[in-house]
Amino acid sequence: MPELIKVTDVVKRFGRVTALGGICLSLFEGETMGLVGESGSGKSTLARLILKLIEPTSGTIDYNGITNIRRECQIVFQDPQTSLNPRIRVGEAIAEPMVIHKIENKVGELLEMVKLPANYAERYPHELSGGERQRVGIARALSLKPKFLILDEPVSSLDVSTQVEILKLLKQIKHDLGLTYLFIAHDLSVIGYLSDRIAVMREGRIIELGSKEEVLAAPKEAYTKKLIESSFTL
Amino acid sequence: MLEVKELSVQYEKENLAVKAVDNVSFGLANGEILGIAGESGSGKSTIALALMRLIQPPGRITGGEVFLDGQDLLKMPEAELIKVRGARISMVFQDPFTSLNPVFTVGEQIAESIRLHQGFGRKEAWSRAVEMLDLVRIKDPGSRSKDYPHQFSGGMRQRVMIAMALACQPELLIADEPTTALDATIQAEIVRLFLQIQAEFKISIIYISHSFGIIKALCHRVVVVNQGRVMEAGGVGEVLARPRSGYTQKLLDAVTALNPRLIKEVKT
Repeated sequence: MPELIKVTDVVKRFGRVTALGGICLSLFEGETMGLVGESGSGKSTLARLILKLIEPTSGTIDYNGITNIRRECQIVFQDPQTSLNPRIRVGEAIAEPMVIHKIENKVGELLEMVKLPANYAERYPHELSGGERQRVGIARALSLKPKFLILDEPVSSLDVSTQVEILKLLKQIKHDLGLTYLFIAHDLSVIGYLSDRIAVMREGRIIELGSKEEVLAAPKEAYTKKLIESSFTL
Repeated sequence: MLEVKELSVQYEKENLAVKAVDNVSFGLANGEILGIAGESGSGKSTIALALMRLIQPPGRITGGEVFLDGQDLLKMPEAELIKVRGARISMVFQDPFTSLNPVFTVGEQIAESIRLHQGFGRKEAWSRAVEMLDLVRIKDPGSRSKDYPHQFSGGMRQRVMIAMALACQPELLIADEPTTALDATIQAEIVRLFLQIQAEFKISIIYISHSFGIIKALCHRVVVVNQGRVMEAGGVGEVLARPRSGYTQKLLDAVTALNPRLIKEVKT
């Protein structure tokens, strides 16, 4: 598979704080890269750098096969409650990126893609459940036909049964549209469900990287082992 | 030690009434760790608040009895109940960021509750506060007791909350999702701390959580709630292996769907 995004020696400092201390990461077309780490490990900083919302202190990010970053790289946020404007109807929220980028409005199609009824376009965010709001967040992220999607803790504020529904939907969409995902989560079981490869981050570095099987079943780093031991399984 | 009988709580607004807790009954033995499991909105936190009669309007307890060693807490005069809260029953909440007062040192906050409930003088209360910090495994408790909440990490703050809850040697500790806001490795440490505390002090614990994984690791029995009602109750092993309610089955299926087999293999 061709390389879609290549992160080389990226360092990001905020004042005296080094948030990222030299990251190298290749994302290949069609894969889901799981990025796991605890709060403050630099996961979201890396996401913002890849989206070019912030610039690295040093290092480079190459985009192969992506010409328009703003259009082709999108993000789904953790909290669908705060990432949707409470005063804007769902339909308008989904349509906004298409209006700004002056492309054909396909709200109905997008709602169908995330398995919400067409009449939800008329509703306000508060009339939706947490899972439904996250579906709206996904529809909006898909509105500009992206190639690459960053999922930043997309299910961590949801109940377990809703988590499974959303993860299934994300899997389906990726399959149907041939997307590449960077999937950020702190929960290994959620990461394991969706990812092909897993990168473990700690204190601004990637300390372990491998296939899902390698990282979860045969972790090399003590910290990865500790993370696995800390997850409460049934 | 605790017997909850047909507890009901209702939230009322204008002419609309919502039953948040509907005829909930369960018992708790001495030294037992009981899990209350449910999804958001199931009423599990409302049950905890109702046990201590802390439901705020527009909510109100509409029926039931809560016996603590034979005394009905719901019929007790407020003045007497104040002596129960914090002293015989204490509570740890989800968010250690909002439940500590930012302008007092943690030592002062723990000592305050000791002075209030146990009538100790300032000095004794303070040295007991330091002992409590040591008990929850905070290193160098003497000097840490003089620090303010913002000088502690999330996990450490939750340890302070637990120290505060244990300060008056309660018979019952109610913990409402105390690890949800914490990182995975810290969460595991706090769950271990609860196990150690229970073993050391033989207190009873009600542990409220949405995570069956944590409940399995920690609790002896579990009550599964949904929409304010008890779906089923029983030994944790029994309920997880052979759930009788379709709702429990559905929740467990969701957890197993997420549990990568790989993780289980590594751990066993």
